Amino acid sequence: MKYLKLNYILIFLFLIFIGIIFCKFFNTLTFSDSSLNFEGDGGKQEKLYPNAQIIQKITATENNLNQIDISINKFSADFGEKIVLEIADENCGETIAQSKIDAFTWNSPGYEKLRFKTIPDSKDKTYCLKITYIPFGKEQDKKAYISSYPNEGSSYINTGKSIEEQKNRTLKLKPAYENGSNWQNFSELSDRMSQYKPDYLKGIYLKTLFILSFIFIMLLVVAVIFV
Amino acid sequence: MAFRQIFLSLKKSKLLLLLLAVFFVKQLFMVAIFPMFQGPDEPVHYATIQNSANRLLDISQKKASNVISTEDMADKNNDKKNYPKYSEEISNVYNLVGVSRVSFHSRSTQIFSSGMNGKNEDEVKNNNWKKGGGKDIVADLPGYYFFPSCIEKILSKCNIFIRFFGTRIFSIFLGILIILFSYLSAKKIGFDDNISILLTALIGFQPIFSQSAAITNYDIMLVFAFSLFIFGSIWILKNGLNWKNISLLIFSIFLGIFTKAPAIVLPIVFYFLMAYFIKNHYKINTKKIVIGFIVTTLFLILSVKFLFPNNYFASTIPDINSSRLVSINKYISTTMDRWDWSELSYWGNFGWLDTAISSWIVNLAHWIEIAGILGIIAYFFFPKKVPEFLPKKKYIWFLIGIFLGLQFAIRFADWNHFNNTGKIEIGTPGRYFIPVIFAQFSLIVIGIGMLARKYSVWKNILKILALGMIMLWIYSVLIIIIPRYYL
Repeated sequence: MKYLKLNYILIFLFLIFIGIIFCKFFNTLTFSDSSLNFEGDGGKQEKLYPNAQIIQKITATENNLNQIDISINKFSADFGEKIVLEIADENCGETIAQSKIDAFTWNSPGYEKLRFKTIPDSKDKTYCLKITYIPFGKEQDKKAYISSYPNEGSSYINTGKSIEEQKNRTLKLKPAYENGSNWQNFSELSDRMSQYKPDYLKGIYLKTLFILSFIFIMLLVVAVIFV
Repeated sequence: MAFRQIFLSLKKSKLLLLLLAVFFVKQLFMVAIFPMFQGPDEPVHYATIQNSANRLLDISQKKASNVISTEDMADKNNDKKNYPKYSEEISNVYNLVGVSRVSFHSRSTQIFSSGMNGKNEDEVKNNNWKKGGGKDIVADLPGYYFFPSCIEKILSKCNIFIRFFGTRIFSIFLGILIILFSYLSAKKIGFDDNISILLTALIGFQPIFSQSAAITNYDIMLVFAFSLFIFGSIWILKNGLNWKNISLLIFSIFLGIFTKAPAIVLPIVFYFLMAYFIKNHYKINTKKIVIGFIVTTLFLILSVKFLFPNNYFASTIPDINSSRLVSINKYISTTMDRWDWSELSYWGNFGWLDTAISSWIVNLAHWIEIAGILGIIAYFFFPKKVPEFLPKKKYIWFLIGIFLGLQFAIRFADWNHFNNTGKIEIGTPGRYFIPVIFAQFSLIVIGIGMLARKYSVWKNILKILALGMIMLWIYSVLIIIIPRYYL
């Protein structure tokens, strides 16, 4: 009887953990603009001064803008400090959405993904991004950097350094968009995964394989628990 | 007997069949997850496969026409230094798919278009580029390349996506065989069916082993050769020598040596095994066997060194002098900092080592390993308290021997390179240690069994570990690998 109980507890715990992983997975399904290329010459590091904003305007290419991926270097968030992103209207006035990353949501060495409430009608609209590093206590001297690259037509201002506009340069950041539902997000992921793959690992075959893998794994889990 | 045992095991253990089926499906999914050429060294391995396939093609054509191609002439004259790195086809696909944009750039992905087909997919599919003609990653080591080059040859009329992913699928089949032989080894060592399944599940879901069994790389053949060798050795330790197990051992040694250099460990372990067998079979006392062993070893080393100075094995035998000892010292201080990197890449740093899992998972794995080591120490210090369900001492010595043997061989090769170049170039990425994954996991399982003392407690701990490993695999795929390459 005791033994049976332990098995059910294991199944219950496993389902909870798997549920958390799947929730996180579906929550991360937001698609950055892959055409943006920041490799090549002319890159430099832009320092994020404590409590001072770096401001850049971007134009969304899709609807449902809900995330900005920012490449922050030489930094990892400690307890109490954070990097805040505000998305304001084109005139940098009214704040439309806000997001932050801190010690609990730090994702280094990849892009830091600053998620915010979806802006449904974002296509072709220009937004003003304000990025601020907010230190904690004695950490005033800690350095954080964002890479910047030459890019025709873009510009930004690092208010911690000067109010001079850095013309024809962009910060290393990518806007990301979601679709209307989890299934649509999953379908877009499947489309991306299908590219440059053989026909037998594309589209419906890939989706089936994905679903089948996890059904089979669940069967194995139950079998393993009851051995 | 043992080959019949394979089929009997499959028939008897439905759980094993389920595990193999799950392994196949999830590995097929893993084949699809990694973008083209994003496995470590995949382009060079595939280039070698193409060259091998061309040679196969040449042989069949030559038989028909009796003509020697210009490439064949170049091969004969060893004039390969002017060859490009990759064939025309691989070079073009490499650029069109955007491989270099992704490899080593953890903040970069391919450029995606809308829909299921990549922007340059049609151009890649409808081409007449030359296949083969690039450099081989290794010369004259056909252990891995023979079967993938047959796949390449059979599918030569298909586009590169079908051919390349076909060679990845070959790795799944090797992975299945490794899982099967791990299960059989576990049974032979004395674990019951349940523990054998749990141990095999631990191996089957280890993330880096899973990656190795889903990409085009000769590592997986080396893991297979080690798995065969371990199975054959355990068989000898259990039932004594017979023509079947000795043939299996010799086959695995040749397969390993014709695959990758670390297999040099196999003949050395075989040599120890034979000494052990001779001692037991002919009832020779320990003193005599130790003296005989030392004399024979010295004789063999000196023979190889002086009679065949240009032989590969001879080149690995160092001259001991003071500068070498200084170099060992320098090497140890240089590599001590890289220990964490090796551990991380053993548990989960995917692709071109630019896609890592969280470090707390590695720390957790560390604690489990430490518990296993403590258990193994307790096993030797308290022989009267060893539970009956644990394997005998001889198996544990063997597993420790082959585990340490590979550790030593890899670090020795790394040091040898460091000694010659002054730089750490080969390094010790975790996947190099995967060939002895069965030995490592078995030792941990035995160590935990020693600490658990009761069979039911032991089994429950192993269940939790197996579920933990399955979760680690799911986490690696959904939270680490997919977002890295596609979001």
